[in-house]
Amino acid sequence: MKRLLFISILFAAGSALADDTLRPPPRLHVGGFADVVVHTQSGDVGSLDLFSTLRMTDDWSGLVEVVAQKTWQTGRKATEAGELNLERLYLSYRPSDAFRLELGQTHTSIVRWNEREHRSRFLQTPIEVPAIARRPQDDGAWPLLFVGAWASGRAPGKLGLTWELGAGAGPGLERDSFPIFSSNRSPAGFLAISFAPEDVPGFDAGVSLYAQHIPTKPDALRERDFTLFTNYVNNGTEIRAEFARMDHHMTRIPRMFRNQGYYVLLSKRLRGVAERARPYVLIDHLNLDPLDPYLTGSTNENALAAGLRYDFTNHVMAKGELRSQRGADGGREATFGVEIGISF
Amino acid sequence: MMLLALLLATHVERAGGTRLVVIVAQASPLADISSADLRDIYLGRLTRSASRHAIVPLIPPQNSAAGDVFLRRFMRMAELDYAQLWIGVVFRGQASSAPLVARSPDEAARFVAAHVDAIAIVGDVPNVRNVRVLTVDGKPPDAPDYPLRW
Repeated sequence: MKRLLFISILFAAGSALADDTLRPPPRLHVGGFADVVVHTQSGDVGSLDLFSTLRMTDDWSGLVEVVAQKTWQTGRKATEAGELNLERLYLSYRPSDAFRLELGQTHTSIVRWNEREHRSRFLQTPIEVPAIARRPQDDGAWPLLFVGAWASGRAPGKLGLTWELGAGAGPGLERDSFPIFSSNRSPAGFLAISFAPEDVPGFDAGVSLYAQHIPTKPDALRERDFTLFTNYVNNGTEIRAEFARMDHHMTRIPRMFRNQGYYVLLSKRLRGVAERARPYVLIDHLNLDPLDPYLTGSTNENALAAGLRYDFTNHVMAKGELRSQRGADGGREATFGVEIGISF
Repeated sequence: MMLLALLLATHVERAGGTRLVVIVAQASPLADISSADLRDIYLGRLTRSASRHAIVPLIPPQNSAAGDVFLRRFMRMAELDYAQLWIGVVFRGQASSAPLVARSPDEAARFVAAHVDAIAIVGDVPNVRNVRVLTVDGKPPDAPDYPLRW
């Protein structure tokens, strides 16, 4: 009897494999990225980024993303640390391409890199994330996470106009925490407009604005952020640039702290037998006000990186990157990094 | 005379080049599509039909002549970049899945005939009933200035 059941299961499995009819996309999608980055100077990182989307109807869907990361450093000052973070968790209502509403926790697009690449390094061309897009856990300065309501849409027409509007809570007293129901919450609002003209395929440019109230003691801060960005991705060429400014105004006295940074990324997919290779150059700059009371853990950056991304398949890649950057003592240091990553 | 022969040869080469054909279900209200909208569908930017249902795009396999022309001439991308673009589109929650890959025009046509919100780019007019070939930018596939001919 058991043998008969086993044969039946085998037969059923064989039938399922043989039934190769094209089917509509599944409603539940689970995917992720995993990578390991090793450096000659700084610590090494291994990360696992898991996400899942569930399409309940054409209009309603949900997304959850969790990132586990481990950093370690060998040698005399050996260290090891691990973390598990909920990155995104939202419910989305999208009755059309002209309107989409997300409710929950998501990544802000005050830094466009943050919204495009999210946490995975697999999709981005270089190994390192530009300084303005560093996570708060990595002492990044910009508010990259947001809890609240987020609306966006795309207007019909040749200009390819898109808009985003958000209201909710940004980072609180700690830049990696989001108090919603306590007095330490940071009310935040966001607006972005961009365009991608039909006549220039691959080009888009836009502006993002972000404002929030930070309940620092004894004097609260008003944050006002402004970002300009542009991208051109066409025929193997990738050009991305972004300039971001963050002002913190004290509310009781007329004192303002200005922080600003930018990056420029150039890369090109080679042709012919070298098509799997994509050399790149990244210029990365960040200049923080040393007296800004909210950014005490963050550091300036002034880096130039050149590297090569090599895609073995659509889902397996490796990168090598030589980087001249600001060292821990404020001087220059050169570092070489290698990343191996997969998507699934 | 030589110039005339050269012009004629160029014309024949163009007329004999590869073209892509866009098909939808016979029941679809769509009769024409702009090449810009078509590109947006295959970039994951345009995800809804006029009836507000989710569009299901289909593409030819990359290792076919139609697949190669689709990526290199129409999307102007390497296969690696196109695959990773769609990994990103799904990861950002913009679409629920990447375009389906149909192994032949007939397989694409059978799927499209059964799904009114599906749209397929194929290398040849399929031999399947209940599908309709769309004009692109108002041009039928046999027009000399059809936009998906190279």
